[in-house]
Amino acid sequence: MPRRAVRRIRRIGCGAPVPDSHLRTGPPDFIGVGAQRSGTTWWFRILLEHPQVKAARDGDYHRKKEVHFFDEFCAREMTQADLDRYYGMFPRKDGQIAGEWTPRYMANVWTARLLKRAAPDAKILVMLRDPIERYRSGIVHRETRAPHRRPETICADAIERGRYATQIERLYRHFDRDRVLVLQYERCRQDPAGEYRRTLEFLGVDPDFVPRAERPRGTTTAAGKKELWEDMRVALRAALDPEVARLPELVPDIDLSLWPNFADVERVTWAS
Amino acid sequence: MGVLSRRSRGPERTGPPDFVGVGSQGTATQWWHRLLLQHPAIRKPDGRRELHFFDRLCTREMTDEDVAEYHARFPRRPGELTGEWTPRYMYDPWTPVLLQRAAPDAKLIAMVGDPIERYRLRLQEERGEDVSEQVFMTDAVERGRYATQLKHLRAFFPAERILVLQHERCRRDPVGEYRRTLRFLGLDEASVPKPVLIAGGQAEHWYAPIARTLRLHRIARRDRPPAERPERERVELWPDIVASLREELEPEVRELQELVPELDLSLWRNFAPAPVPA
Repeated sequence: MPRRAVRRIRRIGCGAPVPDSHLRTGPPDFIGVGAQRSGTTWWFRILLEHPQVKAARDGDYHRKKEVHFFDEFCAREMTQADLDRYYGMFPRKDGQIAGEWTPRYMANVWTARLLKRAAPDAKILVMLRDPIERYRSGIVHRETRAPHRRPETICADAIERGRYATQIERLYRHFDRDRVLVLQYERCRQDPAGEYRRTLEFLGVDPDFVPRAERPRGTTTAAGKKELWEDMRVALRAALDPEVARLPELVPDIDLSLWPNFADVERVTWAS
Repeated sequence: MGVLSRRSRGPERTGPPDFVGVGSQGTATQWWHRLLLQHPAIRKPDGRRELHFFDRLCTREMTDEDVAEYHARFPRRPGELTGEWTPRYMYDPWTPVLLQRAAPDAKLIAMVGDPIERYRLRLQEERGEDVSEQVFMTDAVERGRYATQLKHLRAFFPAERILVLQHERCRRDPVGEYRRTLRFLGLDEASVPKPVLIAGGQAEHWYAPIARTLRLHRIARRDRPPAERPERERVELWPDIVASLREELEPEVRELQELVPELDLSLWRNFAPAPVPA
């Protein structure tokens, strides 16, 4: 059965929980901003297993991972009424933290500034994945989700989303570096316990909690992905190398050896 | 020049284009290409002026048959130049490498315009659309990363074979910029065709063709016929978005200025250098 259907049945079967009057609302405590096709759904789900971590709630009080709140502010101004609506989506008890994870936010130029205004004290989570693997997964994802989109639009968007350094520089312009945690999907796969602990420490909740072991879901299987041909590989490398090269300077603990597509990339350092 | 004189030049043959316009969206490239086609020695490609040939080659490998098909679109007689102009080529990272294979000796022309003004125009055009479609304004920003795109192009084509034109300058001084374009293409710069001279001398004639060109250009891009489009009103940008766009695109524009020294930033309202205090 499709995953979405399963989720729906589960939701209806259990019934939506009733909001509790002890809950307080307000700006989210943490916001995941990227990246699409990097295992963010998996990571968010295991974060939610933690008793102190709560997801956003929509109008029906259903859990929501991706709020997409800032998307529409490319076309109009964000108002206080919008902010009040947003704040109302994060109910939690004392001692709990609430947040959401919309992978689009990082790719949208207008979001970082608004994010800072809407949630100045929020902690920002970023999950990165080898941008060529992300591209391969992204085109399959968009082809199935948005079949009416033209292939060139899908491909161009999937490449633009891999401009990680540009996106992280943008985040750093509005948030202090110590408020942004950049995780690597490949490392989370290798050492889920260690990276989970790191995430919990960053979020300021009890780091000793151990979630049920859960394998990543929602990422495209290797079989669904297309092999890349030489020209495309050259083009992707030419477009994305400068981005990957700038990453170690922005995120000192990033491990580029986990991204074999970029094994030979020359890192940019202050000296050069 | 009539058909007879074209024939007198000799037999027709096809081959790689002599020039390819590669950018960019919303800078009246159709208008400029149409002006170029007024020149007796410049030939129109077979079919549309915007071939969009490389767009679909993001989904599969380009074969030799594809290259031959591309070449077949460009018939010309001796002494004639031919080329196409597709504004998204510069934006699509996979296109320069394919272009290098399909047209290794071509000269490239990129028309650029104030990227924040391009965002405003795009928003004006998209107004009334579904919000989920508006999210694609990301694309409108990314297309304004001219320096990134130009550097990417220069990884595959030598800098001297890429001409960067400024939309605002072409509007202001069409004849001068036309001469520059002819010089770049290796044609006699004194041979400016009459329609261009007329257009350059009469300012009121400029807006109609530009508007017409823009509308046609958009029809080429959009699936919906123009009748369904909502009525256009001027849309103004608000401080948040201007600040975000400027922060993002200012470094691109400064870098473009370094790559293209003749770029006149005083023509870009959103990036004009501050006046020197007296």
